[in-house]
Amino acid sequence: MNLSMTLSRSVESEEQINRHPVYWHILDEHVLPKMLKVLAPITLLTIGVALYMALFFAPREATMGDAQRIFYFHVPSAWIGFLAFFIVFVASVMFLVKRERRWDALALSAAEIGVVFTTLVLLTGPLWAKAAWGAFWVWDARLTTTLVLWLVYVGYLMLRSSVDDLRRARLAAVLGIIGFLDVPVIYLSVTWWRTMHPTLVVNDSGGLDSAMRMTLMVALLSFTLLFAWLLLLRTQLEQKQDELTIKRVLSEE
Amino acid sequence: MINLVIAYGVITVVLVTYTAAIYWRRRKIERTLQAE
Repeated sequence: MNLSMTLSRSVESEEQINRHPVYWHILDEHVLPKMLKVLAPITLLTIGVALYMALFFAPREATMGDAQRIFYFHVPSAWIGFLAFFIVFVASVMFLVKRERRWDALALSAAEIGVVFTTLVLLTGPLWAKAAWGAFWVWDARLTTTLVLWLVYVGYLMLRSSVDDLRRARLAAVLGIIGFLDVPVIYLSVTWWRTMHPTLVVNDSGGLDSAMRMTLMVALLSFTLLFAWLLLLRTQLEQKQDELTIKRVLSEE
Repeated sequence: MINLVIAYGVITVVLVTYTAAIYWRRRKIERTLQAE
């Protein structure tokens, strides 16, 4: 069965057809703009503060110099990638259990954003590595497992970019769940295997300098806000696409 | 220093392009919805 058909069957009356399908109240046309009016400036301001702190507030690292400052946005990119794929995992489970299109839309939106941020991890990491290790890429456990994660979710998006078939949506949900199993492997890779990748120590005893730690925290907050903004927008885009699909299917009948 | 500039440049370009693409796709759908 086609996803469009499923969608059109869920619309029962002419009144509902004219109304917009609203997956969650937060995505309503009257609610979301108000939310974004608050969220967008706060996000941009926080990113600006994080950028200022990364460039001017955090001290220059003794051995690596300025290249170490890549770290302040490399780590938050990885964090957002993990968060996004966790949402894909949860939403995929919910989709398989409830068979509601809104969970599928959420999983797809989170997967796309997760791939964008993991791409940033894979682009900024080598730039840091060149300064630290003298090579852009080594087949280290953490690097390799991160690349595998990226490939899995690129595969997920490729699967979804073709026909909007319900079977494909289910298959993608299974892939979304299995793919997430790589996230704890990436996290624990530095303890399981001998690896060159540094382990992040943020506590007071012998870890990051306090100004560096504070900068990292602000950068993490700024990217988390950006993620929330993008996820809301992207999921609403799926909702609007479905609205269009419903209209088209019904006008054909 | 050059690595830092490239890294921050890449992050900015990717994120700005992605956000703009979402807004652009949204606008396109809204226009189609109004037209149909």
